[in-house]
Amino acid sequence: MKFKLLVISALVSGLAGVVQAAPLTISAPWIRAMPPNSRVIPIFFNLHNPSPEDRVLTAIHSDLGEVEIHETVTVGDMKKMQPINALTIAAGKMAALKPGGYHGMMSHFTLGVPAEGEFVLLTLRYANGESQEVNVEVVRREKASMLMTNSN
Amino acid sequence: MIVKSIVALIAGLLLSINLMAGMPILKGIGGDFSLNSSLGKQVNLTDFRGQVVLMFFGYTNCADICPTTMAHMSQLMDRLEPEYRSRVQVLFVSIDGDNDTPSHLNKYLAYFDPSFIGLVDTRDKIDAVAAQYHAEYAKLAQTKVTTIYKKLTLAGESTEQEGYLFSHTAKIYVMGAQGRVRGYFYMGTPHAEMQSQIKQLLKE
Amino acid sequence: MYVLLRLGRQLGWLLVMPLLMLLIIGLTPKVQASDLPQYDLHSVIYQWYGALDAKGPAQSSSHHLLNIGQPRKAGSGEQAQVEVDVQLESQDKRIGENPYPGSYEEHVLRISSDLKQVLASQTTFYSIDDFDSKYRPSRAINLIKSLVYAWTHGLDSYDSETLEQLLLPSSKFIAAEAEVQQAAEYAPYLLSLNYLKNHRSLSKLVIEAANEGLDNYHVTFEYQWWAVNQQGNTELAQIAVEIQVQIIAGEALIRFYKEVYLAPITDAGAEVRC
Repeated sequence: MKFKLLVISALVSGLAGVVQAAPLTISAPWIRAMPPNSRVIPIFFNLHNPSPEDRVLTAIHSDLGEVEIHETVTVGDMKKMQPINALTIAAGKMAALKPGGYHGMMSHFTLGVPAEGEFVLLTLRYANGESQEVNVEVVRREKASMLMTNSN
Repeated sequence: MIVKSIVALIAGLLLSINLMAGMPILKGIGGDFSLNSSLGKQVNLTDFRGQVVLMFFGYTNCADICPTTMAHMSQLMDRLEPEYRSRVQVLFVSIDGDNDTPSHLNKYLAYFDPSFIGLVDTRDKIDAVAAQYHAEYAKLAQTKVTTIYKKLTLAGESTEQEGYLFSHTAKIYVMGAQGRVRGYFYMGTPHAEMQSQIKQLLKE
Repeated sequence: MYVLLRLGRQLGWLLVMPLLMLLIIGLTPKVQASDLPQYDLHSVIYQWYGALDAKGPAQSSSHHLLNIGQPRKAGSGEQAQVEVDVQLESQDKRIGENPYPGSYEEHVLRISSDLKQVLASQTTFYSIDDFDSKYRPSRAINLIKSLVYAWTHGLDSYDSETLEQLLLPSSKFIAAEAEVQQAAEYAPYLLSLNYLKNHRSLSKLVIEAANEGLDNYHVTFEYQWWAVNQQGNTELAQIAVEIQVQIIAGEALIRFYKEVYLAPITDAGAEVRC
């Protein structure tokens, strides 16, 4: 009897895989409203990692386009935006995707450039196999600047 | 708590001293130019004598720096009183002539503010203006941009969506009413500072 | 300042704050003219030490200047001379062997009223280093610094004569301003700008031995050129300077001179503000 229970619980925990880590907290998500003839749009949000392990964001997925994770870097007097493969959110810390720093870049839109007021569903994928979703609003002007200030 | 408020007060004081100092005339930088524009005609810097000109270099295939700068500028314009707003002209110089045509620029900029003018021309002419303004920029390898190409059909646009990434100066050049460069704004320059300096320049 | 800090603890920061603010207003000048070295004075001092370095067997002593103090009047009357305190690190090859013990010294220099000659030097402090260090020659550095300071003073004071004396007859000259085609035109051109005030701040001085033979050097530096024009407006320029120097008979002279305008720096670090 005990042996059967042991086998069953071992199987169940084996199927469940790794114990689920606490999901990251996503705050102040926003997409900057861009002209309808844009080829790229920026995605911003804060990621807070409450768990005791580092988390690594490896991809952002959306049905509305292709998303890359980029970083704005300063090289001398110039700035440039370059793609990065992974973004580590250290245990207990926060990573901010915000103007002038890390950001998501969406391109190759399937249904045109998302317009002001629309929502874009994003799936964030992590190195440990986990993922989470966030619905991000497209905003402009005062609303955007308010969110920008909040994320600083 | 007290230390923080002291620091804030001192910072505010120094800022106001800075504002009182005004913007110096910068030498060895700037000058007139004539470039093709989003208006569909040649535009010269001298066209804007009597106005403050805010000019920056960028490209529309840019997700972060340029739209952030553009939004900062359009917010600046929104907040300026009408009598000042009419005397400020924002110019966007495209360093990506391959992808930024005058009509593409026109549609793009109008979304931020219909008064913004885009300038785009041959590589040589843009290089010449960039050199005048000591505005560095460099095209980064195309292969680094996207690894996947998709052929999509979008009304009125080309079927291939590929693009370059550039590194470029993030300075916003501020020209006074006589067309001389007086300083620079940046993405993070506070609105109070920009407004105050623009109003001072318009008094000259 | 210290008294204010102590007062602050006793009276409470809120009371002392206005005083602190006034102090900061007083201490925050728009232009730090008084912070700039007196170029002609510094030039004559560096020349003095360069000449000392040149004496005796080749490069047997070195004088590395650490600090030049503010000048003060010595004596009275119209022909009053000038006194300056100098701090330096000296090495003398005649003492001991490699590695050489150096010495920290303080000198008081007596300089002529026209700032063209060092008349006398008195050592007021001398202390042998308790460490050994590799011998570093300083003759070329001192003579070249003397040249650069004299040149800068010549530009600031529109002194054609001084500028001409610092150039070799065969020298090549390229000014940042396209209007100036020859060295002789430079000072008159600057004068024609009718500035009410002007001065250059020197920075990023780099001295390297050039490949072209003995006693040739490649020197680069930057000027931040500040001026006030007739209308009372401030004008700013940033200039990168490149010169080839040749040292002949104990004097550093310009063989090649080139200036290029850079983007003026108005507020270092402004871009970083978010």
